[in-house]
Amino acid sequence: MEKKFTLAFLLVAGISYLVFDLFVSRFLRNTLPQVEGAGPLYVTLASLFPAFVIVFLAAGLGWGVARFWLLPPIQDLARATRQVRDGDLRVQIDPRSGDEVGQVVDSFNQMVVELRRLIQEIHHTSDRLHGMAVHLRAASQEVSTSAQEIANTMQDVARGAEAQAQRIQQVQGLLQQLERQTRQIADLSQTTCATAEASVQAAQGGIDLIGQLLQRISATRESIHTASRHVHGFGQRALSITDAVRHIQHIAQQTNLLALNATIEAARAGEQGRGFAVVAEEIRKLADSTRQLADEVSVLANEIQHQSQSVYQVMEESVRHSDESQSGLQSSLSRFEQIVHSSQQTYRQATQVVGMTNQQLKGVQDILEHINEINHVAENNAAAAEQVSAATEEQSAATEEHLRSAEDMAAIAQRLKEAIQKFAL
Amino acid sequence: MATGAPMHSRVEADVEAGSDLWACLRQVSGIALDWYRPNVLRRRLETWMARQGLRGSAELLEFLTAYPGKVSELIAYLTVDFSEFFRQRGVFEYLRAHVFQTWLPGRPFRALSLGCSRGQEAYSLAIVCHQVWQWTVDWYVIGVDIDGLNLRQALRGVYGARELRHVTDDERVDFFEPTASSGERYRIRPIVTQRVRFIQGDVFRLPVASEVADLVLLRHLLIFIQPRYHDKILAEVHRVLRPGGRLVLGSVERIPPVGEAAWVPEAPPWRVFRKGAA
Repeated sequence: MEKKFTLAFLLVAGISYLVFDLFVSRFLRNTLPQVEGAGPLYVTLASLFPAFVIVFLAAGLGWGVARFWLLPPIQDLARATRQVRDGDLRVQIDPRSGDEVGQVVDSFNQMVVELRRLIQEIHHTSDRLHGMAVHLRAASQEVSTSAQEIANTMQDVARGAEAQAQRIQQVQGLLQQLERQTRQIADLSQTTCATAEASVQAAQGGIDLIGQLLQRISATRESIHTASRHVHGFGQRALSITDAVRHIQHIAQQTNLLALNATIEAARAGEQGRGFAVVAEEIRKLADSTRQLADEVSVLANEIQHQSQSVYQVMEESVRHSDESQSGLQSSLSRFEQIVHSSQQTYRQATQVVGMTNQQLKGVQDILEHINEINHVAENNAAAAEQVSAATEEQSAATEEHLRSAEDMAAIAQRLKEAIQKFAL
Repeated sequence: MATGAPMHSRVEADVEAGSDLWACLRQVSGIALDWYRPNVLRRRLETWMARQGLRGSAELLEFLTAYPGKVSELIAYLTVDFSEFFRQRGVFEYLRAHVFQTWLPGRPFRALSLGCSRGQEAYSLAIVCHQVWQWTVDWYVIGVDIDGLNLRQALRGVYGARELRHVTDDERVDFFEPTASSGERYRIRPIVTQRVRFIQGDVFRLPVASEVADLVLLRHLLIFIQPRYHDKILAEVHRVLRPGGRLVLGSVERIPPVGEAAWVPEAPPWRVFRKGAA
C-alpha cells in the first residue's frame, strides 16, 4: 500500500515541479512584468494561478489513483461486511492481491466461514436446548402436579390419622370404663364373700344358740316334769290330807256325840255332874272347833288338790309347749343349717366370681395396655403424617420454582432461536 | 399451563377461614401461633376440640377460660412433635466424618439443636460427640424448644424402643439403660446428659449470644412455619453461628432465594450449609 502512495505522490510532485518550473513559472516571470500595470500583487496572484492548477491536477491524479487503484478492494470488503451484517454468511471475496488489503480480505473470508460454522452450531444447540427446556418444563409440570396430589393425599392421611387417634382415644375411654366396672364387680363379689362368711358365722352362732336353747328347754322340761310329778305328789298328799281330815271330822263328830252324851249323863248326875257337864261342854266346843277346822282344812285340802291339779295341768301344758317349742326349734335349727349350707355355697360361688372377675380385670388391663401402645403409635403416626404433609407442601413449592426455572429456560432458548433466525446459512 | 392457584396463596385462604379460632386461642393463651402452618394447626385444633366435645370458637373460649390448665396441653398438642434418635443417620455420619473427626482438639465446640422437642436430636449429637472425642474436646450441646412440657420430658430422658430404632445395639448398651417400668423403655445415661442443656425459647429470638455456635441443627422445623418467616429465622441462626459455622436443615428444606447469599452449600444431599458473609 505504501509503495502505491509513495509512487503516486512522487509522481505528482515530480510532475508538478517539472511543469511549474519548466513552463509556467518561467513563462510568468518572463511575461508578467512586461504586461502593463502588472503590479507585484498581480504578479504574485498570477504566479499562484498556475500553482492552483497544478495542485488541482495533482489532487485529481491522487483522487484517481485512490479511487481506481486503492479503493475497489476496500469497497468490496465494505460491501461484504455489510452483507454479513445483514445476515448473509455465505459471502466470500476474491483477494485480488497479496498485500495488506488482500490479507484482510483473506482473514475476512476465514472469519465469515468460522462465523457461519459457529452460528450453525448455535442453531443446533439452541434447537436441542429448546427441546430439552420444553421437556424439562413438561417434566416439572408433572412433578409439580404429582407433588400437589401427594400433598393433598398426605393432608387426607394426616386428617385420617388424627381421626384414627381420636377413635382410639375413645376406645381407650370405653375400656377404662369397662375396667372400672369390672373392678366394681370384683369389689362387690368380695363384699358378697365377706357377707356370706358373716352369714355362715351368724348362722353358726344361731345354731349354737339354738342348741343351747334346746338343751335349756330340755332341762326345763325335765325340771317341769319333775315339778309336775312333785305337784302330782302334792295332789296325792292333799287327797291323803282330805282322807285324814275326813277321819278327823268323823272323830270330831264322834267326839261331839260323846260330848253330847257326856252332857246328858252329866245332867243326869245332877250336882256332881255339873263339873263334868262343863268339861263335856268344853269338849263339845273343842269338837266343834275341831270339826270347823277340819272342814276348813278339808276345804283347803280340796283347794290345794284342785290347785295342784290345775298346776299339774298347767305344767303338763308347759311340757307340751316346750315339746312344741323344741320341735319348732328343731325345725329352726334345720333352717339355720340350711342357711349355713346356702351361705357356704354363696361363699364358694362368690369366690369363684371373684376369681373370674379378677381374670377378666387382668384381661381388660392387658387390652388397655395394648390400646395405650396403639394410642402412642397412632399419635406418632398422626404427628408423622403431619410432618410428611408439611414436607410435601414444601417440596411442592420447590417444584413450582423448578417449573418456573424450566419455563424461563424455554423462553431463553426461544429468544436465542429467534436471534439467530435472520442469519442465512 | 394451568396449575391452579400456587400452593401458598391457597394456604393463606385457609387461614382466613380459621382466623376466629386463632384469635380465640391468642386471647386465652397469650401465645400467637400465627407463624405456624395454618392447615396443620387447623387439623390439630379440630381434632383436639372433637376429643373434648367442643364445637366452634365460642365453646372453645368458654372451655379454655374455665380450665386454664388445659391451655398448655392444647398448645403442646397443636405443635407437632415427632422425633427419634439419629433421624437420617446419614447426616450424622457426614458430620462425624467432616466435622467431628477433623476438629482440632484445642478448640471448644458448641452445638445447638433448635426445636429439640423431647431432646432426641440433642442427645444424638451428644452421643456422637462422646464417641469421637470423649473428654478431649470442650464440647457442649444446647437444645432449644418453645414447649416447656417437652423440655421437662427431655430432662427426664426416658424413651420408648421405637424412638431408638436407628440406634445400634452397641450404642444402646453404652448410652442407655432399661427402666424398670413395663414395656420397653430406656433412660439415657448421665454420661450423655452431663453436657447437654435445655433452654425454653423460640427460634425468632434465640436465647443465645451472637457468634457462639459451631453447629446448628434446624431440622423439620421450617416445614411447619409459614415461608414468609423463614428469612427471619435464618437470619437469627446466622447471628448465633460463628464464622465458618455450619447449619443443617431437614431433608426437604431449603434456603429461600432471598437469603441464598448468606449461606454456602457444603453438602447439598445432607442439607449442610456453611455461614457465609451476611
